[in-house]
Amino acid sequence: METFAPVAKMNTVWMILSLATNYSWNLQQFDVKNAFLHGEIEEEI
Amino acid sequence: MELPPGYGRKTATNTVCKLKKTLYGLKQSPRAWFGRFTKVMMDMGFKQSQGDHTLFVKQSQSKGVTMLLVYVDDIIVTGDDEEEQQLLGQHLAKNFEIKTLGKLKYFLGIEVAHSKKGIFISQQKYITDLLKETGKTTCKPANTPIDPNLKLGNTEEDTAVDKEMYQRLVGRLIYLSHTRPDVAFIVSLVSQFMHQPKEIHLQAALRIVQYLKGTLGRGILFERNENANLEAYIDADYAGSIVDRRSTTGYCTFLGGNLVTWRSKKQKCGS
Repeated sequence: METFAPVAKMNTVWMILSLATNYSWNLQQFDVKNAFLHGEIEEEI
Repeated sequence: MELPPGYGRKTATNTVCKLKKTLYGLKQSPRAWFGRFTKVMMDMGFKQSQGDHTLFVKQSQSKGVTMLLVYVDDIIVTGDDEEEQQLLGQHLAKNFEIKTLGKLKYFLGIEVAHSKKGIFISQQKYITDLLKETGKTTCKPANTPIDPNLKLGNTEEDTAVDKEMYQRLVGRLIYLSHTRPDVAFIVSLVSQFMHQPKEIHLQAALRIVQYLKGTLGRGILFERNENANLEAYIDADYAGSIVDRRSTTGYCTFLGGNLVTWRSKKQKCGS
Protein backbone atom coordinates (compact mmCIF):
# COMPACT_ATOMS: atom_id res chain seq x y z
CA MET A 1 0.00 0.00 0.00
CA GLU A 2 1.26 3.43 -0.86
CA THR A 3 1.24 6.09 1.76
CA PHE A 4 1.39 9.51 0.29
CA ALA A 5 1.16 12.88 1.92
CA PRO A 6 -0.25 15.67 -0.22
CA VAL A 7 2.50 18.05 0.81
CA ALA A 8 3.63 20.93 -1.38
CA LYS A 9 7.31 21.67 -1.80
CA MET A 10 8.41 24.97 -0.33
CA ASN A 11 10.10 25.85 -3.62
CA THR A 12 6.72 25.74 -5.32
CA VAL A 13 5.20 28.01 -2.69
CA TRP A 14 7.96 30.59 -3.17
CA MET A 15 7.65 30.33 -6.96
CA ILE A 16 3.94 31.10 -6.69
CA LEU A 17 4.59 34.05 -4.37
CA SER A 18 7.21 35.42 -6.78
CA LEU A 19 4.88 35.15 -9.78
CA ALA A 20 1.95 36.61 -7.85
CA THR A 21 4.01 39.65 -6.78
CA ASN A 22 5.60 40.19 -10.18
CA TYR A 23 2.29 40.11 -12.01
CA SER A 24 0.19 41.66 -9.22
CA TRP A 25 -2.06 38.61 -8.96
CA ASN A 26 -4.24 38.30 -5.91
CA LEU A 27 -3.44 35.48 -3.51
CA GLN A 28 -6.37 33.73 -1.93
CA GLN A 29 -6.36 31.16 0.80
CA PHE A 30 -8.87 28.39 1.46
CA ASP A 31 -9.09 25.83 4.18
CA VAL A 32 -10.80 22.46 3.78
CA LYS A 33 -12.71 21.36 6.84
CA ASN A 34 -12.35 17.71 7.82
CA ALA A 35 -10.27 17.00 4.74
CA PHE A 36 -9.59 13.40 5.65
CA LEU A 37 -13.30 12.59 5.91
CA HIS A 38 -13.76 13.37 2.22
CA GLY A 39 -11.84 10.41 0.86
CA GLU A 40 -13.59 7.33 -0.51
CA ILE A 41 -12.08 4.11 0.66
CA GLU A 42 -11.23 1.44 -1.89
CA GLU A 43 -10.12 -1.45 0.25
CA GLU A 44 -11.31 -3.20 3.39
CA ILE A 45 -9.70 -2.04 6.60
CA MET B 1 -10.28 0.22 15.96
CA GLU B 2 -13.26 0.43 18.30
CA LEU B 3 -16.90 0.97 17.46
CA PRO B 4 -18.16 4.48 18.05
CA PRO B 5 -20.30 4.95 21.17
CA GLY B 6 -23.93 3.96 20.68
CA TYR B 7 -23.20 1.06 18.37
CA GLY B 8 -21.41 -1.22 20.74
CA ARG B 9 -24.08 -2.50 23.09
CA LYS B 10 -26.88 -3.59 20.80
CA THR B 11 -24.81 -5.44 18.25
CA ALA B 12 -23.39 -8.86 18.85
CA THR B 13 -19.73 -9.16 19.73
CA ASN B 14 -18.82 -10.87 16.48
CA THR B 15 -19.86 -8.07 14.16
CA VAL B 16 -17.50 -5.91 12.19
CA CYS B 17 -17.98 -2.50 10.65
CA LYS B 18 -17.30 -1.73 7.04
CA LEU B 19 -15.81 1.67 6.58
CA LYS B 20 -17.11 3.46 3.51
CA LYS B 21 -15.29 6.71 3.97
CA THR B 22 -11.94 7.54 5.42
CA LEU B 23 -11.41 8.70 8.98
CA TYR B 24 -8.67 10.65 10.71
CA GLY B 25 -5.93 8.37 11.93
CA LEU B 26 -6.13 5.91 9.07
CA LYS B 27 -2.93 5.67 7.14
CA GLN B 28 -4.95 5.54 3.90
CA SER B 29 -6.70 8.84 4.61
CA PRO B 30 -4.20 11.35 3.21
CA ARG B 31 -3.93 9.47 -0.06
CA ALA B 32 -7.69 8.94 -0.38
CA TRP B 33 -8.30 12.63 0.26
CA PHE B 34 -5.67 13.71 -2.22
CA GLY B 35 -7.01 11.30 -4.86
CA ARG B 36 -10.48 12.72 -4.51
CA PHE B 37 -9.16 16.29 -4.60
CA THR B 38 -7.09 15.59 -7.73
CA LYS B 39 -10.16 14.23 -9.50
CA VAL B 40 -12.20 17.32 -8.67
CA MET B 41 -9.39 19.53 -10.04
CA MET B 42 -9.09 17.47 -13.24
CA ASP B 43 -12.86 17.70 -13.75
CA MET B 44 -12.47 21.46 -13.73
CA GLY B 45 -9.90 21.27 -16.51
CA PHE B 46 -6.80 21.82 -14.38
CA LYS B 47 -3.52 20.09 -15.21
CA GLN B 48 -1.45 18.53 -12.46
CA SER B 49 2.16 19.73 -12.44
CA GLN B 50 4.71 17.00 -13.06
CA GLY B 51 7.32 18.79 -10.98
CA ASP B 52 5.10 19.05 -7.92
CA HIS B 53 1.90 17.02 -7.81
CA THR B 54 0.28 19.40 -5.37
CA LEU B 55 0.27 22.19 -7.97
CA PHE B 56 -2.64 22.48 -10.43
CA VAL B 57 -2.62 24.90 -13.33
CA LYS B 58 -5.30 25.98 -15.79
CA GLN B 59 -4.45 28.16 -18.72
CA SER B 60 -6.88 29.67 -21.16
CA GLN B 61 -5.42 31.57 -24.10
CA SER B 62 -7.92 34.37 -23.99
CA LYS B 63 -8.18 35.05 -20.27
CA GLY B 64 -5.16 33.96 -18.36
CA VAL B 65 -3.84 31.50 -15.86
CA THR B 66 -5.08 30.09 -12.56
CA MET B 67 -2.84 28.21 -10.15
CA LEU B 68 -3.82 26.18 -7.12
CA LEU B 69 -1.46 24.72 -4.56
CA VAL B 70 -2.65 22.33 -1.87
CA TYR B 71 -0.86 21.52 1.37
CA VAL B 72 -2.93 18.78 3.04
CA ASP B 73 -6.01 20.90 3.78
CA ASP B 74 -4.55 24.33 3.10
CA ILE B 75 -5.11 25.77 -0.36
CA ILE B 76 -3.55 28.77 -2.11
CA VAL B 77 -5.09 30.13 -5.31
CA THR B 78 -3.57 32.77 -7.56
CA GLY B 79 -3.60 33.95 -11.17
CA ASP B 80 -4.99 36.66 -13.40
CA ASP B 81 -8.29 35.04 -14.40
CA GLU B 82 -10.74 36.27 -11.79
CA GLU B 83 -13.73 34.65 -13.41
CA GLU B 84 -12.03 31.26 -13.29
CA GLN B 85 -11.04 31.82 -9.66
CA GLN B 86 -14.66 32.49 -8.76
CA LEU B 87 -15.80 29.34 -10.54
CA LEU B 88 -13.05 27.38 -8.82
CA GLY B 89 -14.14 28.63 -5.40
CA GLN B 90 -17.74 27.64 -6.11
CA HIS B 91 -16.74 24.25 -7.47
CA LEU B 92 -14.60 23.48 -4.43
CA ALA B 93 -17.37 24.58 -2.07
CA LYS B 94 -19.77 22.23 -3.86
CA ASN B 95 -17.47 19.24 -3.41
CA PHE B 96 -15.95 19.86 0.00
CA GLU B 97 -16.57 21.91 3.10
CA ILE B 98 -14.52 24.96 2.28
CA LYS B 99 -13.71 27.93 4.42
CA THR B 100 -12.63 31.03 2.50
CA LEU B 101 -9.88 32.75 4.43
CA GLY B 102 -9.36 35.64 2.03
CA LYS B 103 -5.95 37.13 1.39
CA LEU B 104 -3.02 34.84 2.17
CA LYS B 105 -1.70 35.73 5.64
CA TYR B 106 -0.43 32.64 7.39
CA PHE B 107 0.67 29.41 5.75
CA LEU B 108 2.42 26.47 7.43
CA GLY B 109 3.54 28.57 10.34
CA ILE B 110 4.97 31.17 7.99
CA GLU B 111 3.73 34.74 8.25
CA VAL B 112 2.86 36.50 5.01
CA ALA B 113 2.67 40.31 5.05
CA HIS B 114 1.50 42.43 2.12
CA SER B 115 2.75 45.93 1.48
CA LYS B 116 3.28 48.37 -1.39
CA LYS B 117 6.75 46.92 -1.90
CA GLY B 118 5.47 43.38 -2.26
CA ILE B 119 5.11 40.30 -0.09
CA PHE B 120 7.24 39.66 2.96
CA ILE B 121 7.49 36.24 4.57
CA SER B 122 8.93 35.56 8.01
CA GLN B 123 8.72 33.20 10.97
CA GLN B 124 8.79 35.69 13.81
CA LYS B 125 6.33 33.84 16.01
CA TYR B 126 8.22 30.60 15.43
CA ILE B 127 11.48 32.24 16.56
CA THR B 128 9.81 33.77 19.63
CA ASP B 129 8.56 30.30 20.62
CA LEU B 130 12.00 28.83 20.00
CA LEU B 131 13.61 31.47 22.25
CA LYS B 132 11.14 30.63 25.02
CA GLU B 133 11.74 26.90 24.66
CA THR B 134 15.50 27.26 24.82
CA GLY B 135 15.40 29.78 27.66
CA LYS B 136 17.11 32.37 25.47
CA THR B 137 14.39 35.04 25.57
CA THR B 138 16.56 37.43 27.54
CA CYS B 139 19.94 36.40 26.14
CA LYS B 140 22.44 38.75 24.54
CA PRO B 141 21.96 38.64 20.77
CA ALA B 142 24.87 37.45 18.63
CA ASN B 143 25.88 39.41 15.53
CA THR B 144 26.72 36.38 13.43
CA PRO B 145 25.21 32.88 13.34
CA ILE B 146 28.62 31.23 13.80
CA ASP B 147 32.02 32.16 15.14
CA PRO B 148 33.99 32.52 11.88
CA ASN B 149 37.03 30.79 13.36
CA LEU B 150 35.10 27.79 14.62
CA LYS B 151 35.58 24.49 12.83
CA LEU B 152 33.22 21.76 13.98
CA GLY B 153 34.38 18.18 14.04
CA ASN B 154 33.96 15.04 16.12
CA THR B 155 35.78 15.79 19.34
CA GLU B 156 36.06 12.53 21.27
CA GLU B 157 37.12 14.09 24.56
CA ASP B 158 34.23 16.59 24.62
CA THR B 159 31.19 15.92 26.86
CA ALA B 160 28.22 14.26 25.18
CA VAL B 161 24.89 16.12 25.40
CA ASP B 162 21.27 14.93 25.47
CA LYS B 163 20.78 13.57 21.96
CA GLU B 164 17.01 13.93 21.82
CA MET B 165 17.14 17.52 22.99
CA TYR B 166 19.83 18.32 20.42
CA GLN B 167 17.92 16.66 17.60
CA ARG B 168 14.73 18.52 18.52
CA LEU B 169 16.57 21.84 18.57
CA VAL B 170 18.26 21.23 15.24
CA GLY B 171 14.95 20.03 13.79
CA ARG B 172 13.37 23.34 14.75
CA LEU B 173 16.27 25.21 13.18
CA ILE B 174 15.87 23.22 9.96
CA TYR B 175 12.21 24.22 9.77
CA LEU B 176 13.25 27.81 10.28
CA SER B 177 15.55 27.78 7.31
CA HIS B 178 12.36 28.00 5.15
CA THR B 179 12.55 31.77 5.47
CA ARG B 180 16.14 32.23 6.61
CA PRO B 181 18.82 31.52 3.99
CA ASP B 182 21.31 33.32 6.24
CA VAL B 183 21.38 30.34 8.60
CA ALA B 184 21.26 27.63 5.91
CA PHE B 185 25.00 26.90 6.08
CA ILE B 186 25.33 26.72 9.85
CA VAL B 187 22.10 24.73 10.29
CA SER B 188 23.36 22.22 7.74
CA LEU B 189 26.63 22.07 9.68
CA VAL B 190 25.12 21.42 13.12
CA SER B 191 22.80 18.82 11.60
CA GLN B 192 25.86 16.74 10.66
CA PHE B 193 26.36 15.84 14.32
CA MET B 194 22.86 14.56 15.13
CA HIS B 195 24.08 11.01 15.82
CA GLN B 196 26.59 11.96 18.53
CA PRO B 197 26.19 15.56 19.63
CA LYS B 198 28.82 17.04 21.94
CA GLU B 199 28.92 20.21 24.01
CA ILE B 200 30.67 22.16 21.24
CA HIS B 201 27.88 21.29 18.77
CA LEU B 202 25.15 22.29 21.21
CA GLN B 203 26.93 25.58 21.87
CA ALA B 204 27.07 26.22 18.11
CA ALA B 205 23.34 25.43 17.77
CA LEU B 206 22.50 27.74 20.68
CA ARG B 207 24.64 30.45 19.09
CA ILE B 208 22.29 30.30 16.09
CA VAL B 209 19.36 30.87 18.45
CA GLN B 210 21.18 33.89 19.92
CA TYR B 211 21.76 35.22 16.42
CA LEU B 212 18.07 34.74 15.63
CA LYS B 213 17.14 36.76 18.68
CA GLY B 214 18.85 39.80 17.21
CA THR B 215 17.37 39.24 13.76
CA LEU B 216 13.80 38.20 14.64
CA GLY B 217 12.12 40.22 11.91
CA ARG B 218 14.23 39.04 9.01
CA GLY B 219 12.65 37.10 6.19
CA ILE B 220 12.31 37.18 2.43
CA LEU B 221 10.80 40.01 0.43
CA PHE B 222 9.13 39.24 -2.87
CA GLU B 223 9.15 42.39 -4.99
CA ARG B 224 7.37 43.49 -8.10
CA ASN B 225 10.05 43.47 -10.79
CA GLU B 226 7.66 42.71 -13.64
CA ASN B 227 9.65 39.88 -15.15
CA ALA B 228 10.00 36.14 -14.79
CA ASN B 229 13.73 35.78 -15.43
CA LEU B 230 15.53 32.85 -13.88
CA GLU B 231 18.97 33.34 -12.34
CA ALA B 232 21.06 30.83 -10.43
CA TYR B 233 24.24 31.19 -8.37
CA ILE B 234 26.38 28.41 -7.01
CA ASP B 235 29.65 28.08 -5.13
CA ALA B 236 31.49 25.65 -2.89
CA ASP B 237 34.15 25.80 -0.22
CA TYR B 238 37.31 23.75 -0.65
CA ALA B 239 37.37 20.65 1.55
CA GLY B 240 35.70 22.61 4.34
CA SER B 241 34.87 19.66 6.56
CA ILE B 242 37.54 18.79 9.13
CA VAL B 243 35.82 15.41 9.62
CA ASP B 244 36.26 14.00 6.12
CA ARG B 245 37.59 16.87 3.98
CA ARG B 246 34.44 16.95 1.91
CA SER B 247 33.30 20.29 0.47
CA THR B 248 30.00 22.10 1.00
CA THR B 249 28.00 23.47 -1.92
CA GLY B 250 25.70 26.43 -1.66
CA TYR B 251 23.23 27.62 -4.25
CA CYS B 252 20.38 30.03 -4.68
CA THR B 253 18.00 30.70 -7.55
CA PHE B 254 15.96 33.79 -8.28
CA LEU B 255 12.73 33.91 -10.23
CA GLY B 256 11.67 37.36 -11.39
CA GLY B 257 14.32 38.86 -9.10
CA ASN B 258 12.97 37.04 -6.05
CA LEU B 259 14.74 34.30 -4.12
CA VAL B 260 12.81 31.06 -4.58
CA THR B 261 15.21 28.22 -3.77
CA TRP B 262 18.46 27.91 -1.87
CA ARG B 263 20.41 25.21 -0.13
CA SER B 264 23.65 24.53 1.66
CA LYS B 265 24.70 20.90 1.40
CA LYS B 266 27.81 18.89 2.07
CA GLN B 267 28.92 17.09 -1.08
CA LYS B 268 28.46 13.35 -1.33
CA CYS B 269 32.02 12.42 -2.14
CA GLY B 270 35.43 13.81 -1.32
CA SER B 271 37.37 15.42 -4.16
